[in-house]
Amino acid sequence: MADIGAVLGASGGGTTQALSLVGAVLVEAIILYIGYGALTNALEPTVRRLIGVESSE
Amino acid sequence: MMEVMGVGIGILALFIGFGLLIGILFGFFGMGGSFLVTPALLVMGYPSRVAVGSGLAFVFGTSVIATLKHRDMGQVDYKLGVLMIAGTTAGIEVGKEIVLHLETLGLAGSIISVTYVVLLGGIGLFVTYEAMKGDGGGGVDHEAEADAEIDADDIPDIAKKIQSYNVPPMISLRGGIRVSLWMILSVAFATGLLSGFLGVGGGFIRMPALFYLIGVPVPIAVGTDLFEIVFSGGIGSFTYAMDGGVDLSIVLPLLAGSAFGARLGSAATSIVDESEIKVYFGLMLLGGSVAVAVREVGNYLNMPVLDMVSLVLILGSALLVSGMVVYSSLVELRSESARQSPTAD
Repeated sequence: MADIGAVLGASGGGTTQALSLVGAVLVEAIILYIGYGALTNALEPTVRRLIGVESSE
Repeated sequence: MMEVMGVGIGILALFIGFGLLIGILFGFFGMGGSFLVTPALLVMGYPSRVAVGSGLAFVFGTSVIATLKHRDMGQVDYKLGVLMIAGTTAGIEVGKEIVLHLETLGLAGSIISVTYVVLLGGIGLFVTYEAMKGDGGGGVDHEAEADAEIDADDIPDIAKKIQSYNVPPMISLRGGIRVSLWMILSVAFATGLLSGFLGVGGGFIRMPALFYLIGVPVPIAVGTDLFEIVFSGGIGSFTYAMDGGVDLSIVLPLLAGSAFGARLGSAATSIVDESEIKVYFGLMLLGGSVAVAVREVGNYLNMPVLDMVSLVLILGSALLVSGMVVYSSLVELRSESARQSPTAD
């Protein structure tokens, strides 16, 4: 299996490389939080309808 | 087979799906990351360094997302979180030293496994018993805002006892709780000691400890525990990344799935009845305890098939419990909707 960390040259060791790996995870986490948040707000009314729940608004 | 960034589509889908289940549990209970991911990666054939390091990096990412969500819901007590980080860090160091000493005696593996089984099983039995004993009338209100005074009946007896020790300085926590700083640090140190000794994130110890020993309401216990895991997971994954133990081809798809699951899980804490939360939490811990016991028996008898049984138990309990969380949320939402609809017209 491909090691993307190795592809990025970040799995060999070293403080900078380790920080870049942890930073990549942090950036992905924040992007996912914002992205899924926007997606949830956009799709919530439709999903509520689909599962048979009336909107409380 | 089709690949994305050098990773097979099948593996990507597996990691995203597995991440979704774990995300629901993590967002709901504030635990379950390394406890579930690392054994699964080990059974899949990854080296232990990569399994542990990638598991920690995944826990770090998931806890960042879940903490942000719990923060939005006012369920993080930062003062308590910082105090817990201080006490836990010291406890983890001492726990690690005990493990290193036991390794020199050749006893570390067996003692850690037995401790794991006894602790997980004990907490699981206790939480399940408490949840089944309650009639649902004395539960913590998940709709309650964090700064609201909590009902004295909601505080477990042992927490009332700990709060009664008036050893200055006394600290005021959210929910109107006043407890000695030394009690918080003692609980944090003890839970850190156990997590350092067992090599796990420790959410399954800290979350019940915050509720049962200090009396923190469950939603704030979950949010504060997640806040603490951001730091312990970040430091742990950095340490492993220094040695090449973090594989982004594992972490990124797992995180993509779990981010969505954590959103569902943390939202469900405000929907599902608290007594049901405790039942699921207890059953999940019992499942984990049995899984670890089965794996140890497999190692002792040299029967690799029991590793697979252990994995199935872990995945099965994750699937069952996360499924119950989603199902209960849907039922609660529908019943709320049904109660509102007569007046909506």
